[in-house]
Amino acid sequence: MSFEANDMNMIHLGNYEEFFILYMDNELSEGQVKMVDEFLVANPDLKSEFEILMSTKLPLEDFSFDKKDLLAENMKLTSVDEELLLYIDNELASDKKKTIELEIASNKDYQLQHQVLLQTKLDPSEKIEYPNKKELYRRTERVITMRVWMRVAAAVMLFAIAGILVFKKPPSITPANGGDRGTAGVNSSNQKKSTEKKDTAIITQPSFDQNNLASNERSEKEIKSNKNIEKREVKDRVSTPQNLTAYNKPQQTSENLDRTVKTNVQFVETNNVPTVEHKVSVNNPDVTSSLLARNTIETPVETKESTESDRKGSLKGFLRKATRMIEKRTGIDPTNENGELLIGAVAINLK
Amino acid sequence: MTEKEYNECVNLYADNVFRFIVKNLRHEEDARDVVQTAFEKLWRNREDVDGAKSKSYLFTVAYNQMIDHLRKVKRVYLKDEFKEETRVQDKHVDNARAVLNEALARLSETQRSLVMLKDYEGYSYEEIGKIMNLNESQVKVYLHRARLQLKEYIVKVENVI
Repeated sequence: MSFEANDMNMIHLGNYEEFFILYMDNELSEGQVKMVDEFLVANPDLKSEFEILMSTKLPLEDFSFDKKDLLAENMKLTSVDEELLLYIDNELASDKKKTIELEIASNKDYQLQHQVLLQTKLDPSEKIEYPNKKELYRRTERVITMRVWMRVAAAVMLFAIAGILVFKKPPSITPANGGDRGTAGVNSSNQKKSTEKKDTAIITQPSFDQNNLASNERSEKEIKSNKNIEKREVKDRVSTPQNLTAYNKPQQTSENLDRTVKTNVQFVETNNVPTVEHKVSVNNPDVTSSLLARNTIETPVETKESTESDRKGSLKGFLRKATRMIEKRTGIDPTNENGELLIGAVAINLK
Repeated sequence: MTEKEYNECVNLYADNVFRFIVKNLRHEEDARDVVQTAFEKLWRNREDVDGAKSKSYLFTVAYNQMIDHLRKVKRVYLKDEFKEETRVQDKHVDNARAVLNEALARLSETQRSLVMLKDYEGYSYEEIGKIMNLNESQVKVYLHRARLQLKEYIVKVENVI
């Protein structure tokens, strides 16, 4: 704490706190103490503040430490005790040990003392087992280093397995012939599987067509009326009762059945592409151009693709759906003249 | 130290270390943690630890771990409280081992550890000093005081009974 000389000459309202603290710490000269006393008389309102400050001083306490423990005689153990303690701790040399043993044997007090001290020894046979030793056991993991030839062999094996998987595909994956899909599906189990796959494709497609119908009811009706004659032919040719059971599940409603048959009509029609194109172009003048284009161009492409390979179906089907959705929402045909999807050239109609 | 030697250490010393710690802490879960940590350290430093000295290594690590734990937890223990009422409560204790354990529980951690390392594990003063980071004369004086304190308690209890 540093004060300027002028500050310490006279106590006033600006520096009285410093004076009070120094007063409490007994750091003031006699003259300064007198000055503080006079200041307090002149300013009785500061007396309470002064008393509070004085009360923070710790009171003197009488504290007596028991010094007996520190005295030299207590610091030293009695020689008898010490010898006996060293004896029971087995810390004595052999010659000293023998002396103690003789003393114990001859002196009863010594023996008694020894007996008492022996009682303080813990029993080493007392066992407390660790609850779960298994958690303490450790094992080092052996790291098998793969040499070059092992790596090469592993790579060759991988390629071989991959090659077998790729080139020896199960026959169920190979697509059935498009036109005779239904009848072929009845004959063999593999073909049944492929028929089921196609069935799902067939069911999904009408649902899309239904959406289109909802937006273009008028044109769809016209299409229906034009196709009615062909339906009968197709029913006779393709949708025999066997085929219907193969294509449609029992819980399917008659409407679904009808839709399936319609789709079958489309598939059959694709075998005769010019006829379909002709009918659509003539009978659907009100349908938007993009939809028309899709009906006339995409359906044959779809049929070809599906008959070529069912493996590509899922991805292509997804792309087709995406294409149609964009087309439906925006009215823009995202395919080119060859019916190929234009990716990266998306135009969205904001109207 | 090899893996086999380490696992042998677990078989030989886990119980001893656990007894040493659990009697000091009087808390099984904490003692288990301390023992686990000690063995964990032994495992990590197994390359540097001589198999012959693994026991004292374990006790040293466990003791230091226990001291750290006590500092952290700051549990309140009954220490050196040879009060009249305590002795009266112990009237029913007629088993010498139980009385000794009672007396042992009233020692400080250092004194208790000294007694246990000496009596249970049979370490010399020098070895105890190394484990507990004390010099030999300190071990001697502290241990002798602990013994006299135990003796005093046992004698007094016997007198009351």
